[in-house]
Amino acid sequence: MEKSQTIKSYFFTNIKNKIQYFFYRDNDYGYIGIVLLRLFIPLILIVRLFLIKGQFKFLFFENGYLNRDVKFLLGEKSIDLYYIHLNSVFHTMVSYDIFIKLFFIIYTCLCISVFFGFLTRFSSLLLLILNFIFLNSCTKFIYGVDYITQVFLFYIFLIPSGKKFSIDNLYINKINLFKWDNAFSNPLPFYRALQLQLCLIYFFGGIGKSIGYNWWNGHSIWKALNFGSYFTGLDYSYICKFPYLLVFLGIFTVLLETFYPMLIFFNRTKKITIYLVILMHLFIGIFIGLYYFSSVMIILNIVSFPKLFFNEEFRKHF
Amino acid sequence: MKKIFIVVILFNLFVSSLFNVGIIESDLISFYEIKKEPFLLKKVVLADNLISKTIYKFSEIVGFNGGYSFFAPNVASSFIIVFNVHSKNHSKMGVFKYNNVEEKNRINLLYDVFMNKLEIMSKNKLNTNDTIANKCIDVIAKNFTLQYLNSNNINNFDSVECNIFISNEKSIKQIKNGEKPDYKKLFFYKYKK
Repeated sequence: MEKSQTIKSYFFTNIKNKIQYFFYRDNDYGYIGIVLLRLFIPLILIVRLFLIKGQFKFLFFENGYLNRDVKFLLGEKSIDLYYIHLNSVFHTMVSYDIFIKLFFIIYTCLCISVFFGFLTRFSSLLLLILNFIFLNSCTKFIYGVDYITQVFLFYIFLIPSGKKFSIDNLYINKINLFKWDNAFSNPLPFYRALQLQLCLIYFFGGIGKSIGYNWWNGHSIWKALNFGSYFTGLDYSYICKFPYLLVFLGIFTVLLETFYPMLIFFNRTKKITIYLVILMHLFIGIFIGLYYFSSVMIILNIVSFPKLFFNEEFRKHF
Repeated sequence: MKKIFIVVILFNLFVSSLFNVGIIESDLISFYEIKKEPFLLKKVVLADNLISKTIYKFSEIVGFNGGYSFFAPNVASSFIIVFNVHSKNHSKMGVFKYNNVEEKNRINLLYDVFMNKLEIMSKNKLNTNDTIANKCIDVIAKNFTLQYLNSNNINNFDSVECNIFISNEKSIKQIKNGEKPDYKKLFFYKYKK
C-alpha cells in the first residue's frame, strides 16, 4: 500500500515538475513575438477589409446577396449589424447605411489603436466584439482563417501585448487589468498559450484530413490544385503524370499537421518542422491561391516561435 | 496568479478541443453517411443547459467554435456562375468580375448555399424545411442576377439566365488519360423583366 502510494506521489510530482518546467523555465524569448502579434493581427484585419471592400454593398446592405430575411429563413439568427441597428438607439439616430459606415470607421480606428498599443486591453476587447459582429454579419462569406484571427485577437487581449513598444508603455501608467501580467519572471507562459493554440489548430486540421480517404490516395491534393486553378488560372493537369507525388504530398500534409504538436517541441525536429510548415503554406498560397490564409498562418508561426527566426542579439531589444 | 493564468489557458484549449472533436465527429458521420446522430455536438456542445449555452456563447465570441478542419475530410468543389442575357436581337454571356483572388475565394464560399439544392435533390423527398430552403436559393439566385445586371449597367434585356456550375472532378487516372477538368450544371434560374 505504502509502496504504491509512493509510486503515485512520485508520478504526480514528476508530471507537476514537467508542467512547471514547460511553462515557467527561464528563457530568452523576449517580447518580440508578442509585439509582432499585436502589430500583425490588426494589420491582417485591415488587409481583409481592403480585400473584400468591393463586396461590401452586396454583403451588408438590404439589397445584398443574403439579406436579413433570407438569412433568417436559412436559420441564421445571430447578432449582426442589422440586428444591432434595429434594436439599439442608433435606429432612431442614424440610417442603416450611415450606421455601417460608422461601424467600419470605429473598427479601423480600433485596429490602429491595437497596432500602436494604445489602451491595448480595452481596444483589443472592443475590437474582438466588433470583429465578432462583423463575422456574424457575413457568415457565408467567412472561413477558417477568420476564426483563427479572432482567436489570436482574443490572445492579444489575454496576454500583456501592450507591455513593450507601445503607447501604453511609453505614456500611460501601467494599469494591470490582469495581475498575471507581472506575475511571471519571463514571457514564456504567454508564448506557451499561443504555441499550444497553434498546435491545436494543426493537430485537428491533420486529424480532420486523416478521416477522409482521399487524403491518403492523392485525390485531395489533386482536388485542391484543381480548386486552386479556378483562382489562379493555372492548369495543373500535367501533375497527374506523377500520381505518386500526389499521394506523397497528401500523406505528408496529414502527417505533418497531425504530428506538428510533437515535432515542434523536440529540439532536433523543431526547426525542420517549422520550415516544412512554412513551405506547405507557401505552396497553398502560390498554387491554390489562398494567399491571405497562407500569410496569416506563416505570421502566426513566426510570432509563436520567434526563437526559431530571430537571433538572440535581436531578441534582446524586446 | 500564475495558476489562474494556466487554468484560463487550459480552459481555452479544452473548449477549443471540444468543438473540434465535435466537428470531426459530425464530419465523419456525414462523410461516410453513417446513420447516427453526432453525439458530442448535439448532446454536449449544443445541449440545452446553462453551462453548454454559456460555453457556446463564449466560444462564439472568441472564435473557438470555428473548427480547424480545413479542406477536410474532403476538398470542396469550386463553383462558377454564368449569366446569359437575352434580348430581342441578341444573347450575351457573362460572369462576375472580381477585384482579387481573396474576393473570388470568399464568393465561392457563398455559392455553397447552392449545394443545399443538390442535397435536397439527392434526398429525393421534400419536406417543409426543404421547400423554404429551395425558395431561399431562388431568392439568392435572383439577387445574384440583379447584382450582375446592376454592376454591368445592363438595362435592355428580356430575360436573364443564371446558371450555377460545379466543378466536375475527374480522377487522377482520367486526367492521365487526357481528359480535362470541366464543370457540371448544378442549378438554373431564369429572371424575366
